[in-house]
Amino acid sequence: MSLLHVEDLRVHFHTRNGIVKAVDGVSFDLEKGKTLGIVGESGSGKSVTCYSLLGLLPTPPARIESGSALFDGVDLLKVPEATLRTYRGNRIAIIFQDPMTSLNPFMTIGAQLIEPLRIHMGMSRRAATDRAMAALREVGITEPQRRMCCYPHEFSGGMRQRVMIAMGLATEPDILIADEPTTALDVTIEAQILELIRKLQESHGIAMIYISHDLGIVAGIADHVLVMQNGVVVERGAKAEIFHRPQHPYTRKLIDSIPRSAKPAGSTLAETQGGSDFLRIEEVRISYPVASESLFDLHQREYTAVDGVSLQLAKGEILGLVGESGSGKSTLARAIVRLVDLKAGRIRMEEILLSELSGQQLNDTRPEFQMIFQDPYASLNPRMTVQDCLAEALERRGRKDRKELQAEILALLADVELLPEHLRKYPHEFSGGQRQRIAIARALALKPKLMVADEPVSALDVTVQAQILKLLLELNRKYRMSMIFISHDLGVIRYIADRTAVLYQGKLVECGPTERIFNHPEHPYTQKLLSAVRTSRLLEGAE
Amino acid sequence: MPAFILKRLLQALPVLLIVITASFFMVRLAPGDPFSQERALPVEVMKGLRTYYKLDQPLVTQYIEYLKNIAQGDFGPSFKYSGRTVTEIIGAGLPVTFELGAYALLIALLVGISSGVIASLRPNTWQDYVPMSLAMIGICLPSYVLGPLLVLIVGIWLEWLPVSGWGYIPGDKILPSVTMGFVYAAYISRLARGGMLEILSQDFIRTARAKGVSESMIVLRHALRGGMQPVISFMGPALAGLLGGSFVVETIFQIPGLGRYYVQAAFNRDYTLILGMTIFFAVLIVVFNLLADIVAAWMNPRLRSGKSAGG
Repeated sequence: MSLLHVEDLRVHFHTRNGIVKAVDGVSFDLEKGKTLGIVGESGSGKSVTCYSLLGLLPTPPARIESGSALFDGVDLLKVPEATLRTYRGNRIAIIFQDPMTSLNPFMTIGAQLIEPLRIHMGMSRRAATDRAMAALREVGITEPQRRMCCYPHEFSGGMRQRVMIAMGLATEPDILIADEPTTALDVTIEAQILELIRKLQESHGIAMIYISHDLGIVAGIADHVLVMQNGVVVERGAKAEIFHRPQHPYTRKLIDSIPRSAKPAGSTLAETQGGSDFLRIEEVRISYPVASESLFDLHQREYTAVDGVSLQLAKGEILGLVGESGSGKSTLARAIVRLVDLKAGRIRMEEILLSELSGQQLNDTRPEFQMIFQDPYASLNPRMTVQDCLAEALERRGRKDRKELQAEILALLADVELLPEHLRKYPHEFSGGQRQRIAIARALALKPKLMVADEPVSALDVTVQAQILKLLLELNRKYRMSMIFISHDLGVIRYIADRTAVLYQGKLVECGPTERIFNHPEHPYTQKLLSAVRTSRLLEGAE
Repeated sequence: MPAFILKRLLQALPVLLIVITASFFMVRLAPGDPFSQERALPVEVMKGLRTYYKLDQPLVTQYIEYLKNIAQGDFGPSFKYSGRTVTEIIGAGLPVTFELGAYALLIALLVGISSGVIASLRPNTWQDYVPMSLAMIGICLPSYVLGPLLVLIVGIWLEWLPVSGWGYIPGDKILPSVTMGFVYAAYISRLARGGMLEILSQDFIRTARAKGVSESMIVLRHALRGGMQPVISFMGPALAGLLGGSFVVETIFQIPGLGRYYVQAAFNRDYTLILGMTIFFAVLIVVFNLLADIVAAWMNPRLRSGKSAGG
């Protein structure tokens, strides 16, 4: 007898543009004490499936068309809202993806922790406080007494996720739903949180549904795995089975898209390994002023984001820049394209001293170095069509007649594998991957010698991610463009970079040929980073 | 926090100086002076008056003299109400205006917040459309239209309430308070709706729901504090407006408050009274905006600790 039995669940969204079948006939069983992993890309319906069990979907537009979800003899989909509420946060708890936004910023950690205990278990304030502090201790938060009075913004992302877990587990639920609980976290923190979840699940004997886009993580933590695509379960089975012997083509595609191997041999363009100086970054230091806390504090405090980093880049080379949040990798990228000023040091591209340029000179040189940003949803102007966007970039290199301009635009589109009919459309009409192609085309339009890509694929699904990485490699080869590629994802870096630089707290800890870094990391931090990835994911060859 | 308050007060000083300087010279640019009347006074009398009030001295000398006086808290005598100082006149009108403002504020907050919150809970239904349409009307309708309209309907046709005065007949305070408060209720209603909608769409509301918190507690405990931030930021300008913007309502309903003195002072070219009241209102605006910022900071733990979120 399974703990939760879901049968033929169908959830449709009734929007102005028609019906979206978000979940279309999903069935599964969850056994006591076991973990069910649900894998899928965005829009696959994996989160909607779980939210509908708890009545957390906005209705309208969502509507549960059919199905049943039997838990403890009760159909969760049919019971009235008031009854369902007694299950939520009590017998079925959920942890969400983004710990930065999932806690109420206006309430103390303590107030939020004792809330479910007071509601569901009728505890007195004092008893609930004691229980909450015990829960905090259990998730590894020290000094719980003091932390109870803190507000979420005083906690780091990893700490907040620990609080979310404590909140979920305090009521001793039967089922824990974890919706991408580590996606927003750094890899080393991710490894810790996964370990914590695994340990607590075991000691409490809780059944868990673990949702993720990352097949590696799911395969590492789950007993059974569902693979979802477009609202349908395309494959199900024991974890090792799915990972090593995938049956469905989509599952195979998902596995193949995980970037983990070195880039194809002979694809490297760098004329000289490491030594050449197309771009020289010398002893760069960047700091931000921090708000002083008192009026009489005359010393302007500073936060040093990048501290004495030196790097070289050869012509046509791809340099991977790895680091966790706060490592200064994005700040350095912004400084190279002169969006941020240096406090000390120099950046030289060929004969041009980039870090000293200003005014008109800087403006004239800008086409030489271009940037691709992380979020293709936010970095394109929503009121400009693709045509306008590309034409603006092209005309930056001098006015030209219509025909010539149009020909160049079409050539750019072909480069990034978009179609001519896309020209008249606006960014919102495209998917994330297509938007990133537009952003790449825009950067390419200026024929830059240097491309700085700041996490260009981290907002994309794995299959799309693989396409974009392939495209970037091809373009790098075609135009002999040097590239600085920033990512927190070690797999991505290994796939694309010729050389890799590892940043930690604003300092360069290690730099060398990518394969050397991955196979023989020298610095302890690099070793820690790599082992974190290995422990949290089931990778090929493991088990 | 004390450093923040001190900083803001210091910042206010140049603002006040600009207000004083601009209004001092602008008032003087207006044709005529406090003593010009339809039937001209004898030349010697005029001359005597001007000498007595030092109006015969160069403008810059007068300006410096005036600054010196207000630095000591002396706003000077009124030119028109002989024997009374500007401070006395402000002191006399202030309680009435404050009382009117307080009632209007109460109406604005009660009506505005409750209608805004209700609208935000059922967006795009009649519970949303009705209060929001009323709010739109409230924003568009100036008080010099709304006031007489209310007087006509409630006072004259229905004869339910008295139409003028302040504290003479029971119920005569209702119409002016409603007239004053309605516009602010309209603004607050829209701000409250917007703020609540914003907060209710946040992830942490979903978390609260997932914890099994009831809808009413979600609104009261989880959403209201964040949702009211825009309303609180608006309270500064609103309070200043309620206290300093009552000329029209006080004139329509014959209320002996600051606003009516202000209007009369302008007609009379009563230099010291105009300046004194302008400065007084400027100080009010600065102080209330500061108060609103302090309350907003206190309500928001992120701002309270004085730390900014690091990028």
